[in-house]
Amino acid sequence: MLRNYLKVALKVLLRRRFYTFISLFGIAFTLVVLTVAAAFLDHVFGAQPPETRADRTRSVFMIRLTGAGPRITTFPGYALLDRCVRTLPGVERVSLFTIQEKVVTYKDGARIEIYRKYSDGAFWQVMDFRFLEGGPFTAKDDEERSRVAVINATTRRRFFGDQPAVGKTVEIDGEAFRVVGVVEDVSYLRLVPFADVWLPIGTIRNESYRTAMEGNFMAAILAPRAADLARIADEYRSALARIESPDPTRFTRILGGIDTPFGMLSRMLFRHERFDESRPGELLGWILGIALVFMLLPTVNLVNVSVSRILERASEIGVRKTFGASSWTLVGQFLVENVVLTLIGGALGLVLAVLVLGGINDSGLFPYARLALNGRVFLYGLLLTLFFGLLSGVYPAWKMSRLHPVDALKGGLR
Amino acid sequence: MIRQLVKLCWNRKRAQALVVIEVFFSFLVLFAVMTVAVYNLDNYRRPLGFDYHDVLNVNITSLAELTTSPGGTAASPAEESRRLAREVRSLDAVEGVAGMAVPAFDLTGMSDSVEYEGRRVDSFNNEVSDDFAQVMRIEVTQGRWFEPADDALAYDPVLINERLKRELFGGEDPLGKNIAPKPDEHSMRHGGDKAPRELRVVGVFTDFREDGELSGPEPYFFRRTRIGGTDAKPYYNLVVRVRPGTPAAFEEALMNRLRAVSPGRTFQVDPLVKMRRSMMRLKLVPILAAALIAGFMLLMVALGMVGVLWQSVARRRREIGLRRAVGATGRGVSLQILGELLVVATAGLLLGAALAVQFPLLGVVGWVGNGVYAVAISLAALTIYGLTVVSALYPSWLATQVQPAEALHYE
Repeated sequence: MLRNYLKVALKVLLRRRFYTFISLFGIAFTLVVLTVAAAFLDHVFGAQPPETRADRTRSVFMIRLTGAGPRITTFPGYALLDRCVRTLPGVERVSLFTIQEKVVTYKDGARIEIYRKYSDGAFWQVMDFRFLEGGPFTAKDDEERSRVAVINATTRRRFFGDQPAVGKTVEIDGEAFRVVGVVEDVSYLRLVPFADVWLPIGTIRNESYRTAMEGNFMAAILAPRAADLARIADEYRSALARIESPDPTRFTRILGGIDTPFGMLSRMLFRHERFDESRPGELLGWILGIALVFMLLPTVNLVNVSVSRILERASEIGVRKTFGASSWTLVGQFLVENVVLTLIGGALGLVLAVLVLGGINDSGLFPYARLALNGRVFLYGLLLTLFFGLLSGVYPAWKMSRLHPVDALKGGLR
Repeated sequence: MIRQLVKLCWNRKRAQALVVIEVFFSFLVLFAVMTVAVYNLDNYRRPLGFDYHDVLNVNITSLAELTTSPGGTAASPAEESRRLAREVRSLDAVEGVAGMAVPAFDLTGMSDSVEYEGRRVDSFNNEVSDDFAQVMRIEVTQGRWFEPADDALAYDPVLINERLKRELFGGEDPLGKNIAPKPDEHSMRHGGDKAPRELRVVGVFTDFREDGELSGPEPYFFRRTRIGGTDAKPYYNLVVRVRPGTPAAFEEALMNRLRAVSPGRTFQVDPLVKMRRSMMRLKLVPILAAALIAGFMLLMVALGMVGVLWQSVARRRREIGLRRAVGATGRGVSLQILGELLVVATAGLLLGAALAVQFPLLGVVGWVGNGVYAVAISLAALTIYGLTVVSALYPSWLATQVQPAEALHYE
């Protein structure tokens, strides 16, 4: 029976090529956009190496200074983090590091742009980098100001042409560093770990960062359990409240919080008066809302085409009814037809999404970005399309199947 | 004719409702795309206000770190940056060097309030050296540019752009007026006795759109970097104008000279042409991605409409045949099909336009002007009609092929 339905479904789809094409186009296109958008969000915010322990890791991104002068939102300085984050009780590890900064090196007359990040030794324990050769530098290296560097695979290729690099010397911003480790490339879109070259904080030439409250530092913490995160965030806030402003004519209060990158984005986007509150739920609501609105147009289109498709086959329904087909049989047939159509559209969408993602990865728009398909989102999208496909195809079929065969033969509903 | 068409559509309103909804959403999508496109095109045609060709930007990153720390002395980095500027100026290929606080084609910016007779305007601004107008080829339309003698003034001289002049002064002459914001009570209480210095307008320039051609028209003003005295400020960025045709290898020579003068600092040398390109890409990529998606969406809608019409023609063969039998021309029939679709599209369009008009009325996105909205709504409506006509072409041709005889013997 089902085999017959499948056969009929394929035959019908092939006979009405134009409608089939429109439906497939709509389904595939909608799924491609949704999956690419989801892949993008997953790539930027999801748990993936080197941030594999995302459930227990949080970061300190920006702070806001308020008071007498203009309100300033900036990255914290080393001194602030040293005092407020390194002292947090009940934290497994704390790491301080700078935001990446572009430096230019000339090699054989060619310009090489490198993103440099300074970090402490704990950085390599909080993050979970995959080393291709060698290993990280340590807290001791940082303390002794050893001129050592961890570089990524691309930097190795640019300087040493894929030869092993550990033990060799790279020149970064006019200074020589000994390579101790090579890691896999980390995407530009990963806010916390991204860089081409990681150097110990101790090798920063200018010592003044040590006393600065504002600057270009970030911190990451690793909690022993995910349940501790709320407590740690509270303690960070009260630590900030205890800090005395070094210059009360500029600001009197420091606001901030411990976030996931997604939480940070929500904090920056919704410019709440209280900067120490992040609202990831609100941001997620907006994203889902936009996705729903986006799906409206393809859905209406799909419903439109489906209704047309069914109406056109009124006389076919009439004939089948005359020969004794029950309403249920007819609805079953259209159900199978719609499922087949949606699945073909889904497969098409899957292939196209993979191609689009590959194109984005190869475009070099985001250095080292490796966007990957998110199976879960793809499945949800497919289910949603299936739902609307059924709604649009089966409901008119059901109504038609209830018609008197004579009316149906004459052309169906008016 | 139109009344008849409307009546015909009204009689089949349940069948048409879906098309109306579809046109409604398509119109909203188009409206959004057109607003962004018109807004950016409108900005693109405005003059940039400076010449970015043959200019290198030298960012002295670590200078900022030093001066924000409480321990550092303000005078020494200022002197150091001055020395760097002099050394770079002595290079052969260099035509001119100037200092500035915030680089062009960069995401950072400084914004402050200025005030004149109770009108308060938030304006982007920058702190630049005396050579800046010459190096960047800024056009001063009124008054004068900064000069070394300004160090002795009791006030801070500023130059404002034409837009800030219009927003702050209307038709009044801005020269010699003070635009420093009056300190409110709150900051007086906390800020102590230090009253802000007077900002006196000494000149007007056309524009300095530091974020590139795609940025909106913004008020802007220049303050002057003080050279001498205890208030001397460093140049955080140098802009270096080189002779036209200077090879790219000059960059490395420049970098070497900079490092020789200040070995402890990090320099970032970028041609402004390159910075402009990355800024452009940063702004264009999301717009193009959205436009591409919208384009596919509209293609899908157009195809869907063809499908709906095709089916409706097929179902109405008898009706069409009857019309042909009583003397209607093929042209008349195809016009009817097209006319019906246009009536339905107009219904969706009016709904969409009613919603779209709320944007300028309520001022939802403040920085987009009413003119931009008007053009965007008209363009979106035109596109919808164009789309409708194109989708109706094939089905209405199909309708002309219906033979009267076929319809009559159907019953």
